[in-house]
Amino acid sequence: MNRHRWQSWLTVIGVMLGVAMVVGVDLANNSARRAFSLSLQSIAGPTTHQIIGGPTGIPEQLFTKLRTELAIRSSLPMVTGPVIIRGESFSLLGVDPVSEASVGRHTAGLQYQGLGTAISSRDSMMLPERAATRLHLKPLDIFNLQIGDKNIPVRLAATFPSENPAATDGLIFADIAVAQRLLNRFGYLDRIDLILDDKTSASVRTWLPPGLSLVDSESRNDNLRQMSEAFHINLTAMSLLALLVATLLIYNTVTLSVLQRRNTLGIYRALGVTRKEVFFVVIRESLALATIASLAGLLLGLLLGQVLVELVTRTVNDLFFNLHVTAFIIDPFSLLKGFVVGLGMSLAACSLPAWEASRNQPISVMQRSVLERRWQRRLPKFTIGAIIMLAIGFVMLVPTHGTLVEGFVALTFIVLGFCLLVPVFLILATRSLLRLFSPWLNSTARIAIRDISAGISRTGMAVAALTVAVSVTVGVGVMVSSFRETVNLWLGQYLSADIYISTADRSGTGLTQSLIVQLQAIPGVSSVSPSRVTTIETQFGPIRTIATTPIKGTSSLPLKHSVNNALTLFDQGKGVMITEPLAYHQQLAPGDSINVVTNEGTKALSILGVYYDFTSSTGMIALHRNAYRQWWNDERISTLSIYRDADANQMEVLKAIKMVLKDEDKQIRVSSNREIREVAIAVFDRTFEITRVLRILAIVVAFVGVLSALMALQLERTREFAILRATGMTPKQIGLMIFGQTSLMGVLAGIMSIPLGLVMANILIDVINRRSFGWSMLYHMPTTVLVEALLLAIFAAALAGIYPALKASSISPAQALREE
Amino acid sequence: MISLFSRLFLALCLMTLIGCQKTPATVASLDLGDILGGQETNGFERALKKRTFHFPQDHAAHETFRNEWWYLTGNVSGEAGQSFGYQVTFFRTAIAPALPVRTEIIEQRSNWAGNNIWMAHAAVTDINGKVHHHTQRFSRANPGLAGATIDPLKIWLEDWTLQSVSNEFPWQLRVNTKDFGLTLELKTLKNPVLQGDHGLSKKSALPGNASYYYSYTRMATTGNIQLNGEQIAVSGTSWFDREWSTSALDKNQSGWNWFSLQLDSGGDFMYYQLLDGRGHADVNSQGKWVDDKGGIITITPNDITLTVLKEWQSKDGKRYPIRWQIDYRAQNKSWIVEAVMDDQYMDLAVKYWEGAVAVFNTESQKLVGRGYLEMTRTR
Repeated sequence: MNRHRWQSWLTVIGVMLGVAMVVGVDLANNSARRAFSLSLQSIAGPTTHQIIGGPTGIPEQLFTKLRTELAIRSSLPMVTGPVIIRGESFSLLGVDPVSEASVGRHTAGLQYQGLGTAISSRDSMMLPERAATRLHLKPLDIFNLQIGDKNIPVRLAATFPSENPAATDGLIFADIAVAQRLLNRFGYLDRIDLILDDKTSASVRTWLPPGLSLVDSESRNDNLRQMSEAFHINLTAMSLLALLVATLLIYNTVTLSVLQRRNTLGIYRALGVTRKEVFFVVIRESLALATIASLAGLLLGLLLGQVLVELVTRTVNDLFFNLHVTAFIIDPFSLLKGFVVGLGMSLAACSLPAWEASRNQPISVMQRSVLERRWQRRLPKFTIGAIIMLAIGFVMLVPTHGTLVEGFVALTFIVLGFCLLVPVFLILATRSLLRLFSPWLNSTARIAIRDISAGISRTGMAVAALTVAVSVTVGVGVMVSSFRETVNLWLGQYLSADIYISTADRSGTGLTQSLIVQLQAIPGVSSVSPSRVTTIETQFGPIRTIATTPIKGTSSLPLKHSVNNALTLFDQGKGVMITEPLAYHQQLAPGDSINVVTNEGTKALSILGVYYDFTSSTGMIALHRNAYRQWWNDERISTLSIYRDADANQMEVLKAIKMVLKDEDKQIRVSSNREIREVAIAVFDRTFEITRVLRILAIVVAFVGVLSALMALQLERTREFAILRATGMTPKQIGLMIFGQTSLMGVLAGIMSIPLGLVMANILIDVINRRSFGWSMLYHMPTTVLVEALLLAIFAAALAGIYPALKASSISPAQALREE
Repeated sequence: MISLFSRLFLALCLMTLIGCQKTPATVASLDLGDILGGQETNGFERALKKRTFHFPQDHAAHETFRNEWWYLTGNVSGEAGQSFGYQVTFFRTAIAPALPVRTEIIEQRSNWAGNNIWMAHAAVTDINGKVHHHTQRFSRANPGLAGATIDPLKIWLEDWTLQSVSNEFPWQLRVNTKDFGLTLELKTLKNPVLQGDHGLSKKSALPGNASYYYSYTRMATTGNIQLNGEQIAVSGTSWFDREWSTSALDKNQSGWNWFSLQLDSGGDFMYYQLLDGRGHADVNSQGKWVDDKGGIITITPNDITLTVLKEWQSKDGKRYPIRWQIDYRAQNKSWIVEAVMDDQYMDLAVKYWEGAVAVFNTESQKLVGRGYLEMTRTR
């Protein structure tokens, strides 16, 4: 092993990176999941149920009745809203400290003085001690709360110890009266948490007026948790692909190490060392290497995890749920898992060559040709195995509603099947190269090419590893690029208006009918369309809903499929449109119906169409604002879409709109179509940053893998080169031969990685993505990704050839052969 | 007595309420003197001089004062010979003076805003069963969770209510707890009695350390007690105390003993004995004798001798006298007052002994009346 330090180190690095990716992704995933449950738990505490209101919230009188008429004492009112303190995001929870104390939740750790001030003053805040320390805030300090676009000075009344500091970090508390004022939520509550037994929960459920629902905290949290599960599975799968490459790498290294020492092993066997002992000698050595690599991988994984957790949390925040906890949690189990997976894969990878070494007769171990011949014989079996694996993989992809994990298993079968085909491809490719280009090839080139198939036992797996690694970059690259292109096209269709006005204020009082009239009067404005964005309770849990007022004759919703007359029926309020993810996840189609909780009780709304939407992976509902106003009795407006006349100047219209809004002292934002597109694409890019990072890591693993495999391959052949030198080859010829050979392997791997990568991209787009998110997208194949892949393979291979080429060319034949 | 009690009430109850969740140490470390001495009286109205009482208006809350209570105690019995004592109290305390009017005009106010926190205690002593049930509640006042209003009369904390269909008698008391329930109708048999000096009840020499205090000393009581799943029809007599104030006792006062006795002869006796730092009777102790016609006589410490005959010790080590001899020399009366059960300890956030007592003629040893005894020890 000492003889080939380079090779050992590169293998260690490869395995280390593979393990680091698995560990890093696992840690990041677990941290995000933990943050998720902490976020949910910390808000819900020991409560069993929640009363949830419609779009407007829960009228606060309901709480008074709950206490005074129903005598439901374990009831905790809450108003919530996002705020920013010194650049950090917090959730402001408006609570009743007296109720919280009675169940030992949240502000229960408050002392009397703080509690008194909190309840009686109009600007008092309460913070868990840890957050206060981090923000450098002491009781009585004045600081700013940023709510929407406003900065509001408030006072820290008290800090309190929190039982679960990690969970309450990111929460700031205020008395409900203070919170209602700050969040402008007068008269309403966002939720009422309850501790109920089965009997009382049934009676509360029947007592609740229409429009309000009682949900089980546990199942609601589960629903929320499941939303992001697909995303986590995706990340894990990507890290496992990296490990697969690392495994191929180990296999390759061990095979080579066995080959290198075939003499020694043969002598051992001749001296009476048993097969078992030989097997374990090989295993032990490989395990030592794998242990070092896995341990190093753990350390690197810890570092990587810290970077990834931010990216993962950000994506979860963008796509699913507002996490107020962002802790990096080191789960010992993740570390153990990474270590065991690293070792296990290494063991599996090296046991085949070890078995190979032990199986041989003493004399045949010494002959490489025996091994090569055996491999040649084995090739047809490989091919059959490959075909079976590919068949299983593709068959598994057939059902449209399979699970995500099944999708990944299928992908793995396809990748492995492809790997098994690589040696055959290599042989065929080198043979045809020799045949086609024979007239132009000199003997050196011919030797170089023929050697690839002659040494298939070593080249096969090295090229397979390279192929898989490069194909991952192709697959992921094509998928992300297709997705981005699709979103871009969709945005163009979806953002049909020229200017949008929105309010951050949830009560939406800033956008009024009279404002619409004023805006319509602006010259150049052709129409103003109000919409309301909110969340409604459905049989599938809370779903974001947009109540729109489409301009006659147009549909701002890019429809995928719909019932006849869908647009007319929609305008008449005869049903709703749902987004593609909702349709996919809940298996809904136009013509079906969806149960929603309205102010008039539960209603079954018929589904008129399914439209493309990439704003929510959990799904959305769209309905006509008139129908919404009628059923939810909610006149508020969240967004105004403004269309200008074709000949009107955008800048002038914008200026005029800003003039109109100048007098409105509300949190109103005006954005142009272009600005929103830019923001949307920025969010998209941010969401896929983690994918990009993992792709780069996969490239690094691939690079290291190729470097190590090919370099080892050539270094192992020192004696062979010496013979070539002795038979008259010049050092330059030897160097060129080696360099050319590795580069050729790089080219071949690069070429093979493209079909595999494209198949992978297809699976990612049509199977994995759809099963994860329900999004369908256009297939977009950027040439840059393909060129990148080829260059990567060739560059890595060429680089791997340089050192052996130099070394082999400087070899002294006499010295190298003396060993014989 | 009220001022001390109710001052303590919020400070103690909220602290203990909170403290008892996880860290009892917080409670133990409370220094009562600090709480009493530390409280600001600025911004609150104080009981400095005599005032004219108006009924029913004065049944409603007086929010310019810090503390206030509505206190019902009574002895009732069932047809099958069961006898019970009961206590239901509504306490209000303001944690800060009301906001300056100016602020309230400028901005919209949340319906949850307000400075009042309410506490209520309820207890039933099942004398035959030898069980003392007791429980407490807390709530902020707003929105409509607790309060005291008239037109019609209603004093409530969540679903516990003392109310009337108009402002007149009879009043209905409704209390439901996990262990017991009370549905009682109360009708006064005498006019309200203004305690202290025309209702101004001074607790110490310092001006302002006083409360406004009136009582209905004898109310005919009928209704039901719900206990152990049973509905027991009962009737008997209740006593209603009303007090509001802002400031505390002097720092050196350490508790009190309060007697409300309803004698079979028709006379009602109230006396509170304030205790100084050494546990001795304070000169500001006082009471009233109300005869069967409603005639009222003030009782001063000089008119009376209280002798402790037997003590009971609570789990926290405080000693409470549960058998007394009262010599009301001015009227030539002598009674033995004895707890119907030793342990009628209100082991709640605010801890005190409050329970039903039987009154015996000292000489004849005959039962001559019933009543309630309340004892607090702050140190």
